[in-house]
Amino acid sequence: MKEHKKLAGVASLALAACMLLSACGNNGGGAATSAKSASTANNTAGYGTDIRTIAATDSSKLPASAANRKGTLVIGVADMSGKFNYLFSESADDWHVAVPVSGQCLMNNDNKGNLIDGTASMTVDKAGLTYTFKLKYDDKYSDGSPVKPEDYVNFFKVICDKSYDGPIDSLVPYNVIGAKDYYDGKADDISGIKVLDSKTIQIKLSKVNTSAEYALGSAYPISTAKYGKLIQHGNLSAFKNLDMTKYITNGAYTLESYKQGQNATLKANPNFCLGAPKIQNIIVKSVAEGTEMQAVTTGEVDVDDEVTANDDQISIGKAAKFVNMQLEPTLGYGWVGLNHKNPLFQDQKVRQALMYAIDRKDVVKSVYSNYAHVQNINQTAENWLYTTKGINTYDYNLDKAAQLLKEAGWTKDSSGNLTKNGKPFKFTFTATKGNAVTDVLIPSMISSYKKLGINMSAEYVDWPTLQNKFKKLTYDMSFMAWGLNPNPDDSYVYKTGGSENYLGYSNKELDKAYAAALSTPDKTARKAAYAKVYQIINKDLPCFIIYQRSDCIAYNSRFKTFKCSPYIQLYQQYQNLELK
Amino acid sequence: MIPILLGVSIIVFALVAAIPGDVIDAQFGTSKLPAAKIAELKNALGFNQPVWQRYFTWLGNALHGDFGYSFQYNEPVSAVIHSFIWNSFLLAIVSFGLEMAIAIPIGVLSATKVHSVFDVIFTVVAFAGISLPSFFLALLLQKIFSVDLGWLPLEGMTSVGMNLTGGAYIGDVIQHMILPVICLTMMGIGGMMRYVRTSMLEVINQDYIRTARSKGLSERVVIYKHALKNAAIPIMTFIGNAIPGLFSGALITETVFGWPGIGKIFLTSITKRDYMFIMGYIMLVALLIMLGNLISDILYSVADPRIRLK
Repeated sequence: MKEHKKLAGVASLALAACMLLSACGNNGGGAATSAKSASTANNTAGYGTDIRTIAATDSSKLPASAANRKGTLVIGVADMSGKFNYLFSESADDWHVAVPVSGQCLMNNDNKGNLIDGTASMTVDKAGLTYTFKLKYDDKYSDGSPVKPEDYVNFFKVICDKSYDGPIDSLVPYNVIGAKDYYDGKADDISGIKVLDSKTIQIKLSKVNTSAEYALGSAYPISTAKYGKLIQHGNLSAFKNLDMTKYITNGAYTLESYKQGQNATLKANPNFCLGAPKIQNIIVKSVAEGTEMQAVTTGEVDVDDEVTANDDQISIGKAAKFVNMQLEPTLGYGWVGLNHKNPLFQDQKVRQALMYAIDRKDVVKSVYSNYAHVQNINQTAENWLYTTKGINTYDYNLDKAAQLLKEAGWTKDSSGNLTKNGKPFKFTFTATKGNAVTDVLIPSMISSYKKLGINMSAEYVDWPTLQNKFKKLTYDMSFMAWGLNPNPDDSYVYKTGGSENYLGYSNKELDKAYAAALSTPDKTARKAAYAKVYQIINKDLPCFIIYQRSDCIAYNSRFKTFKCSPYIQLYQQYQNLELK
Repeated sequence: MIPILLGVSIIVFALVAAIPGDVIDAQFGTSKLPAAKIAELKNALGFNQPVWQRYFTWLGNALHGDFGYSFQYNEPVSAVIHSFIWNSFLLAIVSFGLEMAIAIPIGVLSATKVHSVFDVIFTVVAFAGISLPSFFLALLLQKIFSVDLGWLPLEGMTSVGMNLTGGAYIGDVIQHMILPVICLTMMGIGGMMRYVRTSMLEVINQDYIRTARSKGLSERVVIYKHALKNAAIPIMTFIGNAIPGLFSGALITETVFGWPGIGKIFLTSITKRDYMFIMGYIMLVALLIMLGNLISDILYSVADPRIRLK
């Protein structure tokens, strides 16, 4: 299981989120689909849930260049930076190499985000404070040396080191005993993590945190014999700059070579504990943005999981006849953020009015056609926690919006503009240029809000500037996208003082609901606790959740077995792929 | 040259520093890294220092050949430039050679047959080449020759999964180069052709050309020995000025054809606020521009003995 949550610029969402998160296709647009997906997701298990596949119609059309590539699979990605040490790797493109090459984790997850055994099985004591991982295999690294439980501890030491600047959380927020002392340099070891015997790792928390299992389960071994010396407490630069070519791993593949900006060649690890991969060589190749589908149809790559899901691309794939296409919902959602430090947005009724006045269905249809649907909560329908109970769908309704604004004390002046205490309702929407969503969303919002007497204007900045504005809360309203992953805890986004609460939002009731969800080990009770979280967010609207879109994975007819789903990405699956 | 380079470095450094956000914001701006750690990282990179102090630190290191570390690639700037610049150069030098080989004779012929059918046809072609957006031309070439006809590779620099070596490898790279080279050549040919034509037209009407003709010299000698040599001075300026372009990369063409060149990397470095790379790259281009001018000056004296370097 690999864990990642990221704020993705929507400009980069097509790229970043579709990969970072994962994708799994829905059956095409509209809010109705959302509810349908939900029921399907709750009733089925295993691969194929909610995934729509458009199958190849004539395998004989496969170009000779692809057919002749015996034993080698070519995967297309947008742009690799070469950061293949997973602990420091930040883009989904790099993960296509970093994930299989860095190591196999203690735990995996299934298609609904539930944790399942990886290289270990996990047990949690009744109090929810002690996690015990039993290693299941006589696991070996790619060079034949044995994997030791201490090697998993190296992973924890890296992420808890003060000098670690990678994207993964330390264990401090998960209340692991001794993590803070290790971070502060007061201890040489993390006292709460103990290797009990050659197969057992025990980790103790000081306070229950239900999301800790995801963080702990994502550890993979880093050979102490080979790399132990590079992991120096307080100075990880040698480990960060490690050349990953020929890296000793317990992962499915090793990195044989990398040509910067071009391609990376991976070789199957015969010692892989879950069974030797069936494909011997994999080449991950950079493909120019916008030509992903053409790269598959010309036979230059065998699979690309970054194809934009739209009618044009699908028809190109269909016309080639030998291309299969898997459509699946992106694990993530696009949302409009409000700065709650701005007095305009501090009234719940005003926020609800603004939400009612966004024609989300129309915007989503215009931008994504049938390849996205309106989203109402901050969780995907694929997840075991998803709910529609008590969730308002905020269907477009200007009358309702006008009514709510009136109740909030806003009245129209003689020129039709809304005012309250002599102040006009006026704000600016900050966006990045050339964004397909805001290009449609902003004019639609301006037009609807104008009818209500609200004056919304737009300004455009680049992505780093927008991030800066978010961080400093110097915006009124903006558009962003969040990725989701198996760990449902997104309290840091919405709770008071959350590390990624870029909304300036605070709601004591929601804080309590999150605290309850994080301290409830029982899964049934936790599901109810999270339902409350989603209901509060849906009612109080810290932000306006707009849509969830689809991803498209195009792959040719060379495959005998092709598996992949929103929660189990292609790069986590290489060992399960098989060519004819 | 040195004062100019210093001036360029000051202006570019000041402009880069004025862009909102820095590399740490771009990389970790919205991540969960604690504020204290972000502050530490900024501190380590000197972002809390005044701009002038940062400039002198950068300058000091640059003078010792250290252009800093590229955050985007986690490698020294010089290594990143080295990895990509030669790929750009390969594309550029081939297309530039073709441009000259095609544009100079056509430009000369157009000038000698001014207003003829030949001249009109190539003037139209030249303007079409100048006016066509490169992304459009690139996509059109891809559509026709890669997707529809399947004659040439769609993108990239080499075919993967084939383990080619020696001649087969070179042949493979050449195959991948054909479309981007056609694209770059078509874009560049028009401008150069018009430049040669104008230079030649100016010279052809001079008295000494009339004199040469009245001496009974053949038209071939008049045009190619007397006229072209004199028209060569402005053409050499053009060629000299093109030198930095050979190394700076063709942003759009490289992007569309997935060519691993420096132009594409530079654009990404701006959005990622990879300051060290931006500075290193711009200083390299500035140096090349000056070298280009110097080479133009030297070539002047070759073409025209009256001009001597002092």
